This record gives sequence, C-alpha cells and structure tokens, in this order.
Amino acid sequence: MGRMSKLLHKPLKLFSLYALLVLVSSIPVYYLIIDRIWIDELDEHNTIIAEHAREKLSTLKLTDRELPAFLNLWSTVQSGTALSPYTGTERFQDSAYTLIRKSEYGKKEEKDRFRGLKTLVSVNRRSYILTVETNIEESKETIVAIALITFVFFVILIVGFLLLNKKVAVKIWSPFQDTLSKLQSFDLGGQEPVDLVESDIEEFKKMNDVLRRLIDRNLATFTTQKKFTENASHELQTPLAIMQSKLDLLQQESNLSSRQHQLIRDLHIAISRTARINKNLLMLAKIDNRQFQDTEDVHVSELVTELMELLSEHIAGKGIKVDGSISENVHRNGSKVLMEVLFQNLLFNAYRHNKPNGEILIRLNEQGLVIANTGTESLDTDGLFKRFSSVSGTGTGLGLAIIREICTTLHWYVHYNFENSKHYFHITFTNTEFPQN
Amino acid sequence: MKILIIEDQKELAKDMLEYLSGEQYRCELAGTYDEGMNKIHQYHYDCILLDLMLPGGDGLKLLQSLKESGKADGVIIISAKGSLEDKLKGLKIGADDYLPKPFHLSELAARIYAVIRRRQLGSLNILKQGEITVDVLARSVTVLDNELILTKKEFDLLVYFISNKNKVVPKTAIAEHLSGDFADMLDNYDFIYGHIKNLKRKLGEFGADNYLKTVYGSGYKWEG
Repeated sequence: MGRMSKLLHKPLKLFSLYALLVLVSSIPVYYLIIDRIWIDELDEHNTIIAEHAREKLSTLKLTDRELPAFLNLWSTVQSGTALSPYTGTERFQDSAYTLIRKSEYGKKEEKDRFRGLKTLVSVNRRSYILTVETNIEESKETIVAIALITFVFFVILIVGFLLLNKKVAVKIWSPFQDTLSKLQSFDLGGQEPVDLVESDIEEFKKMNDVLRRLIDRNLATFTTQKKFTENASHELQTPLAIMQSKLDLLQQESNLSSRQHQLIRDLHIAISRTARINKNLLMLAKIDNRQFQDTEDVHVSELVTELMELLSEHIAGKGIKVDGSISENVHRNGSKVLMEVLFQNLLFNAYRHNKPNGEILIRLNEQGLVIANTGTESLDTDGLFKRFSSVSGTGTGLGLAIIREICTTLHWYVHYNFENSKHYFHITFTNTEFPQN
Repeated sequence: MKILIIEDQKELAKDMLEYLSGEQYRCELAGTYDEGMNKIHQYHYDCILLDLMLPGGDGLKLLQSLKESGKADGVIIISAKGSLEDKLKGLKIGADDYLPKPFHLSELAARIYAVIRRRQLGSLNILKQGEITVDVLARSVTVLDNELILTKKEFDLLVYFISNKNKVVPKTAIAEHLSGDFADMLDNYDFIYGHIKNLKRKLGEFGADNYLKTVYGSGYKWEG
C-alpha cells in the first residue's frame, strides 16, 4: 500500500493546481487588454489635444514677424507638444506611435514610455507638424502589478479552499464518520445491532441501508450458527447416553472373552472422550450465547485452593512439585461457574502437559493469576487459543478456546509465553474489584 | 425397593430398567409427562428417575407437583440439558440429585443407592456384606469386629462397589466417579489402580479378599 491520503485532500490538490493554472494564464491576458485600453484611451486623448490645438491655432491672427516668437513660446509652455514646420511635398499622413525616451521631469537615468501623435496643422496658412506625446504606464510595471494582484488572489483562494474543505469535511462527512466509528466498534459476538444514523445525503443513506442489511444478515447467521452448535451438542447427549448404557450392559454378559473385554474398554474410553468434547462444545456454545451473565462476589483464593486440593492426588501421582503462592482474600466479581471452569482448565493443563517430576508454579494476587508448568518447547502461539488447533492424542482441543472465551466474557486478559523451560499462562484481572467492607 | 423411570427415550429407559432390576429393585417405566404424573400420584416409589424434556410437559413441573402433594419419594433428575440453571432449579424444588447425560449405569446405581440410604433412617445405613459391615453415616468399616481404616477415596470405592454388587463396573466409570469436578477433563485412568490395589490389600489383610475381582482389562466386579 502506498502513502494514504484523506479523500478530501485529493480534489483540493487538483482544485488548487487548476486555480493556479487559470490565474497564471490570466496574467498576460490582463496585460494585453489593459495595455490595449491604455493605448486607445491615450490615442483618443492625444487626438483631442491635437484637435483643440488645431482649432485654436487656425483662429490665431499673427503677423509673420510675431510667428517665430509664438512658436518659441508654444514649445516652452505646452509640455508634451511640439510644432515643427512641414517641409515635405507629398500629402502628410497622421500617425500614432509609441516610443521610449527620457522624461523631461523624471529622474535623470529613467526612461519612460510615451504614446505620440503626429498631425498636420496650419498656422498663418503655413503647414506645421504638431506632435503630441503623453506618458503611458510602462509594460514592465503593469505586468508586475497584475502578477502581484493575481498572487494575492491565489493565496486568498487557497486559504478559502482549505477553510471550506475543513468545514465540509467535518459537516458533510459527519454521517460517514459516525457509521465508520460504529462499524469499528461492532462485535459480531456481541449480538448488539448497529444503530446507524439516518442521513439525508443519498450516497450515505444508500451505504447505511446496505450496511444495515449486511449486518442483520450476519447477526442472523451467527445466531443460527451458535444455536446450531448448542442444539447439536444437546441432541448428541442422548445417543451418547444410550451408547454408554448399552456398553455397560454388554459388559455384564457372563461369557465374554478377554479380547471382547478389551474392546469394550477401548470403546468406553472413546465414548468418554466423545462425551467430553461434546460437553466442552456445549460449554463454549453457552458462553457464546451469553448464558453466564450472572455475577457474584467470588472468593478466588478459596476457589483456586479448593481446585488445587482436588487435583493434588493426580499431581502427586506424577511426582510433580507445586510452587504455590496464593494471596488470601482475592475477590472478583463475575460468574462463579465460569471462573471455576477457567481455573480447572488452567490447572488441569498444567498437570496434564507436565513431565513426570516436573513443576507447577501458581501465583495469585490482586492483579492476576499466573500458572506455569514444566515443558520442553514453546507452543505454537499462532491460533493457540483457537478451537481444535492443538488436539493432542487424548485432549479435546477445546480447553484453551474455553479459557480465552471465559476471559473475554469476564473482561479479563490471557497471555501465553514460554520461559526457562516453562509454559506460562498469565491471567490479568481487569474488572473492578468487589468492594470490601 | 421400587423405582420409577420417567424417560421418553425408550432405549435408555430399557437399559436402566435392565441394569437396576434384580435382587434389590423393582422398576417401572413411564414414557410421557401424563403417564409419569399418574404414576407418581398413584403409587409410592423409593426413588424416581426424572428426565426433564418429556413429551407433554416439563419434568420440573412434575417434580413440583410431587413435592406440593407432600410425597417423600427420592428424585434424581437425569437430563441431557446439563445446564446449571436446571440443576439449581431442580435441587431447589426438591430433587435429591442431578445426573447429566451421558452417564454410566453404575454411577446411576450408586446415586440411587445414596438417595435411598439418605432417606431411610437407622438400619439401612449399615451395609452388611458377609463378614464386612459398613456404617455409611459414620464412614467406618469393620471386618469381623476389627475396624478397617480406609482413606476417603477407598471408602467411596467400597460403597460404589457394594451399590453395584455383582455388576462389572468399568474403569472409566470409577475414574469419573472419583475425580469429581475434574471428571470432564480426565483422560488418564491409571490413578485408580493405586486406590483399588490398596483397598484390595486392606481387605485381604482381614481375610476379606474374595469379593473384589478384576475383570480382564475392562473393569471390576464385587461378588457377594
């Protein structure tokens, strides 16, 4: 999987890129249009000045002697205009032009752009060329100004996008986030239907409808499955009982051979094992079906001690040493049946999977219970607590699954590790302690 | 001694009847709720074996009806349900014992024996087997007036054997009987040899070694 990015960031990136593209390409367009308008306006301006001058000049009544003095005065007073005598022979064509030169009043080294107009005027029936020149904004300055403004707008746009995006993300996507968090906390075994909030957005409504149907179907299937296991185990008890009683009766026959007795013994063992597996399956089904919801104050120290005593004979028979440290007065709230089954399974495993003359270690305190036993190598931790994952020769393959299911139900935590040639099972009590008065 | 078996599984009912019928017990069968109800109110039984799931009604109701009419018959619930609730409910209503299916017939016989003994006072709590006398209440055994000291397990074994007199008791049944809470997990039955060997030896020391017989590899038989 590559780098993850939020759904909303994808269009935002694209939108920003697109806005940048549009704004950047708008810079030359703006420049060209503004420059064109400038030039048109100045040409018009120059024409008006020229027309004004032409009209005034044509009405002047000057003598030939006065003319040079007047022309001199004109050039001095009328800035931006000039009169020069026309010496050409052909008809003069009016012309507009742009030039860059030093300004008369600007800083010395600076050159400005000017728009000019040359037209023919007559003074005292003589032809003169009237030149009108007006300062025009330089193209460089215009382009910089436009680019700056464009950049400012781009920044405003992006900030707006980000803010809106954040708002949209929180508001529009809130039904999605709600559904997501509910799905994350959904537990099929919990049998609690998911309460998805109604949304007026079509896509979310559709998604929620589909999810609701999916979850309902899963819950129904899961319930049927669980009920099936429980019913199947129940139904098996009766034929098992009949098999066992028939075998008990068969054993009473008077002229059975030694071979037949041995067969009967083997059958007894097989039936016992079937009955054990069936009982464990039934136990698991009942835990799954939440039939042990009753809670009471359980004296854990006493319970563990009692179970140890019951098992002591078997433990002694195998020459196993017990290193026990059981704190007094450890109480926990929960189903006593479940705790009993849990401790039985743990202790029995520690006995059963032990070596002759091995050791069992028991540590019980307020925080939890640790049970360890001598072993040769670490168990395969993958799927260790799964049903039928570790069927040994004679076990039911359900003991550890039951241990985990019970811990889950009691909100306890179970952990396995192998250390110093011992299998350790750690149970951590995490539920609240029963108040002691 | 009269025993009523209220059980709708014909095969199982027949097996119980065959195993229990003999010198000690006379058994009757009832296959439905109504049949059971008629019999418990019409006759007196020393022990009633009651299945909970019956055609026509709930076995617990039958038990309730029996207790309400003030009858003192002993009752053992035999159920495939095996649920703790049913067990507690049954015992609360007044059942004497609860035996989940599947069970060994020898275990059933031992439970019946215990229920009947508990309900009878006096002489019935003293078992006599030739020269052996067992006082169940005092948990003491004497052989020809000499007291025989037995461990708790050896004593339980002895009573178990006597309540299954002349029957072959399978090893698995003995192991499950002795291991109590751990019966559902036990997969090794070797530990019973020690107890049986010791019991035999102690009986032998008092000259009573001709009762308990080993039946090939499959079980034991108390012959008396």
